[in-house]
Amino acid sequence: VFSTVLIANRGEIAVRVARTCREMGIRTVAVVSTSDLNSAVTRIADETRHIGPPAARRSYRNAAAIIEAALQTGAEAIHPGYGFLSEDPDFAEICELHGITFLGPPAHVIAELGDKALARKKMADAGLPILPGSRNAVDDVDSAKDIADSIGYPVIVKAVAGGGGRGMSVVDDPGDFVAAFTAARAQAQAVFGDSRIYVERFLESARHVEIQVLADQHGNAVYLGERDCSVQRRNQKIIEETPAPGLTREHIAEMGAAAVLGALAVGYVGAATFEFLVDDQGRFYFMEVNCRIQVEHPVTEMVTGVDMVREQLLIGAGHRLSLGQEDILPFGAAVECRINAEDPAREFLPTPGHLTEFTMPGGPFTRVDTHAHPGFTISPDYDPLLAKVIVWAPDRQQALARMARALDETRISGDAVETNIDFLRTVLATPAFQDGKHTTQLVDQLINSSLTSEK
Amino acid sequence: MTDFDTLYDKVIGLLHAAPRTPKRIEAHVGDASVLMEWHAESAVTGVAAPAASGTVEPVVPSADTADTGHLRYVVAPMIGTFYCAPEPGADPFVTVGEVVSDGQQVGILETMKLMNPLKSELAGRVVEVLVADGTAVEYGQRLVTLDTR
Repeated sequence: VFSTVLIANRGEIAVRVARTCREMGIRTVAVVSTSDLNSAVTRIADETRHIGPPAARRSYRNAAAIIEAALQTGAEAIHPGYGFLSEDPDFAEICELHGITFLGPPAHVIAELGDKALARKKMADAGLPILPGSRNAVDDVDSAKDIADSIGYPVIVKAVAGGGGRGMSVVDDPGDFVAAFTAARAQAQAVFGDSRIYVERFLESARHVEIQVLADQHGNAVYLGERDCSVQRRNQKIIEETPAPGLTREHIAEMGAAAVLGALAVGYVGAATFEFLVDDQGRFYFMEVNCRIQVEHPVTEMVTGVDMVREQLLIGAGHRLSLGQEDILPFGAAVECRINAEDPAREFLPTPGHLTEFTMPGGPFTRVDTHAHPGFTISPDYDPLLAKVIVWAPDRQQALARMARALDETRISGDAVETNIDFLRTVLATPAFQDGKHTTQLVDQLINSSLTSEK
Repeated sequence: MTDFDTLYDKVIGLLHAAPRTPKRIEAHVGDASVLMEWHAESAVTGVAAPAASGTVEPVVPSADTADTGHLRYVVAPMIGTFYCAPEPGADPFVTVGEVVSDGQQVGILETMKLMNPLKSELAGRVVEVLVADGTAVEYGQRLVTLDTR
């Protein structure tokens, strides 16, 4: 494969990538900002380079500094993790120009799929079902309003360059459309530097179900089952599981085949996630493709036995997929909870601070991916993810019981530090979630009902 | 989008990414290159890589003030390769014992094949040049020790 890989990320995912590299006998280079000089990945990596100050713009998003570190250390490939430069087509191109393998799809594929309106059009052309909406980005508010009126309310207006739950707004009332569209366009320009917007039908009670795809450089692609990520707060996932409750195997096979078709249609290489919305009739609609390893990839690993990072490395090195679709046999159920340093009582505001206690769960079929430890300081410069707790069990009911047990064992405290652990427990115990009948509205419903009961 | 639109967007992006208003921006589309220049009193030239945007970093050497006493350091403003002289075989920018002024060039930092002048932000007498010519250095690494008495 490669002899040296540079990990252009931080936190738990940097540790995660370094671990597989070690298992494969690959030398690793960690790049760190001033905040992360003694971070967990530096103890696993073979070499560490200090690339910039805490601000991500000058360190983890600084393409020049990362390429320079790769050249200094002789890295042949760069694993971008998630976030930061992982879906930046310019960075992928710069890697290519320097003869460094970017562990992700080709730059032009990232660019195409990063344009949400174009991705939607490409996938519709490939035969994937999409929600009624504008075929392309719409420029003027009048034609946008016409489209919204013709598809029916509620609609969602989304930034073409958006992602990660940002740059979108739901419009229930036709009278509010013009204001919402104008505001969304201004926000899109401010946040993403791209004011283009598209309009789509909004499904009020839907499930978020995504398909994991792997594609090699030789035109082969497979899907590794699905993940249900319907438990979200502010469009950010907090609990993910597989299999998706309530969907039949035939259903998943249909979605999987659609995702593979879409991946092959755009010449995808590497690990892709196809996100779909599933309505209460079981119909599914393409939403977007994520061109990176996902935070929630471990749930897929737990039921398939496939190490996703290993596959990314092999694909990047030009190997053919060693797995055919018939070799992928998901077994049992897996659930992941994201433990964030944030305060659910204050609208999930991040709570940076110093950890005095950090005890993670253990025991049967319980996996923890984390970079934190007692004495760890949570930096305000980065996202508040502290740990991912993942459990496996033969069925969903046992998996949920195991997760509840694991969260009971988890103890985190520190000056000014709050976590979402109690909130995760509340979600797990909710009858709608226990029955697998929940939708993406679940977290909002829980928050609203707790506010009502306090009054 | 036309090439012009693309270029326009990139330049606007560069302006947003820059910490101060540049004196000059030069951009080309074919084989895309970008050059940004700031006024000498604020910083020196930072240059973006081919096809890159948002990666422009002005070189602003800063003094490492964590140290007590009268010794201060010129540190690397970015990861790169340090050169003590303008070209191989030439006299170094500074020698031990020499007094440098604020803003005086003390070396070159090469990042991604682009040469950035490394200037001192302090006045003082050179006590030691801490790294050899052509050394790969990290962000924040001490390069030159100055006695600021």
